[in-house]
Amino acid sequence: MPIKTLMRSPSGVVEATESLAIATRRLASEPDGCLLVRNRGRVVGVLTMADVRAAGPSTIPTLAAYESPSLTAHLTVADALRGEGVVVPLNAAAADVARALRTRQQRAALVADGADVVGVVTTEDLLSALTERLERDSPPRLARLLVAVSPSPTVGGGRGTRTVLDIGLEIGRRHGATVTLLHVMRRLSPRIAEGLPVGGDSDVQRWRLAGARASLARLVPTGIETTVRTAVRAGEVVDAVLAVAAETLADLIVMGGRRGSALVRETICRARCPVLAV
Amino acid sequence: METVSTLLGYDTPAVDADATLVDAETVLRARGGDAVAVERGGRFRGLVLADDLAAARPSMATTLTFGEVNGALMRIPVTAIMRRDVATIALETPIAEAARLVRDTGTPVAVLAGDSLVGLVGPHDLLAALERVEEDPRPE
Repeated sequence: MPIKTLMRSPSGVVEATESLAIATRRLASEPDGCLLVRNRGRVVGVLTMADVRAAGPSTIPTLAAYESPSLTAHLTVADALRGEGVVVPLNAAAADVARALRTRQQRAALVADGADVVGVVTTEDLLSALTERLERDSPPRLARLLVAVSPSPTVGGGRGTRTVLDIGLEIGRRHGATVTLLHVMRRLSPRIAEGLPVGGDSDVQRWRLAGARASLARLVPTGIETTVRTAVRAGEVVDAVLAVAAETLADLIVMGGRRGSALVRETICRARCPVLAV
Repeated sequence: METVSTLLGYDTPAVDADATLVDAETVLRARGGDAVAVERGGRFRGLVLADDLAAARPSMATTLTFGEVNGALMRIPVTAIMRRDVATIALETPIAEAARLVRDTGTPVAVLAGDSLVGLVGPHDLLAALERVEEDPRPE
C-alpha cells in the first residue's frame, strides 16, 4: 500500500522557536491533531499532543510545584521534539513507514517529494489502513450483535450508554450485522415483561416497561444502515444478557461497565461468544 | 479473520499495584511497547501508558536536580497515573476490531481470557502487524 494514499496534508505550521504554550493552544484546535515544525525555513518534524504533554510540566502536582510558570513559559516547540523527525519518500510502502515509526518510537512521519515535505502520516492513519486491509482480505463474519445498554443517562457510569451504543452500532455497521439493543430491568416482574397478567402494582410496572421500551427506541439513530432491534428483559443483568445472546445467536456481546466489575467478569466467564466490555 | 491471539507475546509487561513510577519505567525500557499492565493479586487493575510516564516527569523548567526527580519518582506509586477505564477484549477479537479500538481510544487495550490478563495490544503491536500483513503475499 503506497503511503501517498494514506497521507494527510496538515496546514498548521509552527516555528521551532515558538513558545510551547502558544503552540499547544494552536494544536488543540488543529483538526489533524498535529502541527508541522519548521526550523530555519525547513520542516524538521511533527508536533503532537503527546509530545506537548511529555515536554510540559509534570502531571504529578507535587513535582509540578517545582516548575514555576515563569520558567515553563520559556519552553519552546523545539524542546518538545523527540529526536529527529521520521522522513519517508512519497513512494514509500505503508509497511516501511510503520517500521520506521515503531522502531523510532514516533507518532507521525513526514512525507517528502524530493526536498519538499508534502504530507504527514500518523499512527492513526496506519491503524486505519490495517483495519481496511484486514477487512478487505477477510470478509466480516459478525452477523448478530447484542448490545446491552441502559436508556437512562445516569446509569452505567462515566463512559455511559452513548459510548457503548456508538461502538456497538459502529461494529454492526461495519459488519452488516443485525444489532439487538437490550435493556435489563432488575425490578420488573418477568410476567409483566412477557405480557402476562399479574397482581396489584401491575399498572405501575407496565408503565415502567412502556417507558423503557420508548427510551430504548429513542436511542436508535435514524437513517443508519444497520438493522437494529430492541428488547427489554426483567431479572438479573447477566442472566438476561446471556439468555438474549442465546436467543439471538449473538456473535458478540457489547456491554458497558467497569472492567473487572463482577458483572463484566461473570458475563465474560459464562458467555458462549466474545464479550467486548467498553 | 486473524485474531489478537496471534499478536501476543509470551508474557505481558506488568507491575504490581504497589510498584513505583521508576519500576514501571524500568519494565517499559526493558520490554518496549506502549504500556505496562498493573495487577494486584493476579488481577488486572489498569494500565500505565508510556505517554503518561513521560508526562509525569517534570519539564526542563524544573528546579529539581536529576537525582531529586528520580528520588521523587521512586516514591510515587503507579496508581497515581494508572488508567482504570481501559477497554478490554477477548482473545478471539479480530485484529481489525482491536486496531479500530486502539485508534479511537488512543490507548492500548487489555486482552482477557476469562478473568485473567493475557496480554496488551497497542499501536506498537499493530504497526508490527501492518508490516507483516503488507509484506506477506495476499491469500489467494
